Amino acid sequence: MLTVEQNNELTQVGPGTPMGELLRRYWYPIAFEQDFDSVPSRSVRLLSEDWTLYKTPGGKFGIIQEQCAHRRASMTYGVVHEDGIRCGYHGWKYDFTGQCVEQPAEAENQNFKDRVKMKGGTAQTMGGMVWVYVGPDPAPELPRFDVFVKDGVRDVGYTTIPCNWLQIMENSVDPHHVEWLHGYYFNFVGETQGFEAPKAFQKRHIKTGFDEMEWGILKRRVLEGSTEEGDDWKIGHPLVFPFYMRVGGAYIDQMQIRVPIDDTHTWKLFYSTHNPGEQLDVQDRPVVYEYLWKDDEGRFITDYIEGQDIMAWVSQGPITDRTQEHLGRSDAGVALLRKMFKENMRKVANGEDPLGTIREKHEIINLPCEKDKFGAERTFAAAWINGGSMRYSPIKEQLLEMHESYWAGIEAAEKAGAGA
Amino acid sequence: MPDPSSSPEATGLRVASAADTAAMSGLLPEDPHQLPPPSAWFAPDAERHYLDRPRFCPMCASSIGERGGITTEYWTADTRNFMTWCGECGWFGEVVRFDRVTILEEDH
Repeated sequence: MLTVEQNNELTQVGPGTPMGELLRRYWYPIAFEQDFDSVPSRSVRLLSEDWTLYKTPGGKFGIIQEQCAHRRASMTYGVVHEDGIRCGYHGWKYDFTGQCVEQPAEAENQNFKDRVKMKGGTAQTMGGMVWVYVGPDPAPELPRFDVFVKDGVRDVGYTTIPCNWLQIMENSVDPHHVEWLHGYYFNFVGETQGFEAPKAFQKRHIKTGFDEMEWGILKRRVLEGSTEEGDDWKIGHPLVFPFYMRVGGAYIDQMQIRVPIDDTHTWKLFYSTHNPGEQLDVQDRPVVYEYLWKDDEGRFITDYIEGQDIMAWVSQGPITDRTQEHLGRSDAGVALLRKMFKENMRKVANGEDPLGTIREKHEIINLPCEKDKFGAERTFAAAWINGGSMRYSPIKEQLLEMHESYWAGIEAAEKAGAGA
Repeated sequence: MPDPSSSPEATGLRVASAADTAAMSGLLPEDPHQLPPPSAWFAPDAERHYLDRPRFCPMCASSIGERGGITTEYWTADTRNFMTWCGECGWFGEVVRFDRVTILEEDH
């Protein structure tokens, strides 16, 4: 149970707020590379601010606040140059830092332009997405987490969810919801609608654990029928502070990304890399698609895993009223996460880098993540693809075939070995 | 030992704020940013939480609320656990309130 003030502090992401200042120390994916195939610039909203994201003819990306400093027209309808962007209204030009460098209608011999600097940021591409940093200089390195840079077939589902990003993050340190929402409830939906829900999610939790680590919180669980020797406990998987969760299993590696658009909207992506065996077919760009979470009647679609999650997140309201909550022992991870946010707000206020800031050049950041998920092995990939947001993927059938082919190969090799 | 001539700010020791003092006396704040409206269904629970949570760090005695810390309460049966982080000294642990001392026997 939090006070009104504490709940506001943890959920408000705009400029000048403690959480907003913390979140501005990180890079966010905000668009896909293919979004710029037909237009050079797009409007994006991030951390309660409106921005123009643009791509120069040479392929460099830039980000600047959307409203021109002159008469507030949208820079998204501006002219993109190699060295910046020019407002379409009166031609004011800004460089990549947001500094005004030209004012065509003003006299050449005065320094008005030098006194105008818009908010700007830094943009880069990685894994087929455009990432931006809009915090104070110097920008940290863009963290090259394994899922975004490793080989494999990449598949990204996305949607915009009308709720605060924190209630999605708190779900990531709530292991017990899996056996209920994705187990018991999924089974109920299956019985009601006439399909068989995946069994892997129905196992009872025996034990859960949370370790603070250099990238966030490592979450562990022992499920019924397993032991501490199982991957789910021995390795676990991390909540990557402050807006990701890394999951995986059965040769699917996934980063769940929760980009805080503003206090009441979150861009939710499931970035998956499929890499069973050696049969890799690396695309130039990931396959990108929008997944659905409401039906034609406006009801939540709850016959798949992420649809169930979205029901649980959105039905809490745009911002969960934590003055009315009642936490139990199984919510200890939620309390730990709130402490981590407060601790890192404090670091930022003291001028320190918060958790997960990386300033060294690097090739890849490998995150711990179990391989044998829920002890389900071979059945897990198909259960995840069919029962998760990947069911909306345009390459769903190829993915299923790729995974099944791998496991069939393993089975054939084992039979051949046994017969030798 | 801290220098008694130093200010509380410099030593890390804290003087109870008006809000902390009022809460110690069982008084609820008038500040609407602290509590839900009285008409809220769980307003009484929020009030108890506000009054019963630890207000000072068990390690350095700084005010949890005033120094950027946080206390999150969760229940285990009748026991109320307050997971507490002190923003001043970084102490992190639980303060537990109970009405009865209960020992759970391990399997034997």
